[in-house]
Amino acid sequence: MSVGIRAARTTPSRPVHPRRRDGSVARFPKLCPLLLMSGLLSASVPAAAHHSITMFDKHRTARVEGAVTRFEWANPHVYIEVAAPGPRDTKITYRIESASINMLMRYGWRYDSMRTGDRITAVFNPLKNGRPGGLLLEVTLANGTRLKG
Amino acid sequence: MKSLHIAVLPLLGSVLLLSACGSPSNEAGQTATADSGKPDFTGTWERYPEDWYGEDPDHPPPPGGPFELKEPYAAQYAALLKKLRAADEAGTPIANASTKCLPEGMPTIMAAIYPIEIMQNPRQLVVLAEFLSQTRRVHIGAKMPAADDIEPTYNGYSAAHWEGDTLVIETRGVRPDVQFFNVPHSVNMKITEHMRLTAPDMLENRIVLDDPEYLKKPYSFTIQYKKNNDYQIGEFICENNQTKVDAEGKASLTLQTDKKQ
Repeated sequence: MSVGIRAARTTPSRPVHPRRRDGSVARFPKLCPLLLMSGLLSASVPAAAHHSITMFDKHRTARVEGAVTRFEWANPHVYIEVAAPGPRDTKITYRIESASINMLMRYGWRYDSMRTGDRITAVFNPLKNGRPGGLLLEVTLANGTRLKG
Repeated sequence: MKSLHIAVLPLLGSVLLLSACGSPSNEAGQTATADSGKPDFTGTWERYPEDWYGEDPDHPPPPGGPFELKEPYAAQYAALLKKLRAADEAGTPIANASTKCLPEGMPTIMAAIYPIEIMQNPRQLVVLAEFLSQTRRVHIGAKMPAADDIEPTYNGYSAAHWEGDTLVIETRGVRPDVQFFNVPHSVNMKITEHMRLTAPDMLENRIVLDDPEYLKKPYSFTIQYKKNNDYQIGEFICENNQTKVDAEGKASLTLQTDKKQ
């Protein structure tokens, strides 16, 4: 095993959208995936193992509200870019890394959970180097749905 | 088009394996293959117990305790660990193989950081790992080729035989740059696994790494898995690697401003 299991993630013993044997996907209402996680799914293990997360400051939490300028639904990590107001009428684009597609689907995400232009609020561990980016902890979508990062 | 082929081939392989191995579904309590009378490990398996990684999921301890390396490898390994710790503390972690989207290889693939699916027939046991869509093949009843005839690969060549209800797997030919916990090894390293069901839904894999050139003594550890056939493994193509690796091997996140440069 190489260094840096990217984790602290809980993995449900069942996926949030389990695929049935007939190929269809069982979907839960888009009410509150966080509740689904705690209510229907038991916590368990794995994690992403792509890189160490020590570039992020896990002792600090930042929050940014703005418009999605890019949503990259891809592995090894899903990325969100959010444009938020900066000093003197400027805009700062934050690049926020999330877990893998496979992990996010366990948390109730979909490939179309957000689109460019959506207003979201992201809570994340910021980069240690102070640049505008971080590791997603939770996002609140335009419709109020909260998703674990 | 080339990338499309790369994406489709593993799927074709999975379909062929399904045909060869039969349905991956396994009724509760069914533990033997119908044709061989041997235990059937077919199913989707998750690492067990759930908190296998210990207190810090970012730095799980080596499962068999500290590695006892011979010199000069012990000193080199200690220096590497020191360098890795310093890089982590500075927020500039050193990239590893997975950071570059390379396969985990043996024995890390069996650590099942994401779930693994096992498909078994009398001649093969195939491990399909969710992480990076890796495939490992174990040839049951095959003879281990001569060392010179084994091309060093990520998973090496695995030949297995049954000892009662235990499948004993010997693996050789793992590439030296494929490392478990960054521990160096020779191309002659032998990995021996003893796989057995301890209950219909519990699988145990006792693993021994034997490499007299590097290790003072064989390194042993056990991995346990719990069956979860309700889970269907998804595709994992590592296509969007946004981690930059500099000349010193340090990893950082590519930002929008970087992409414009």
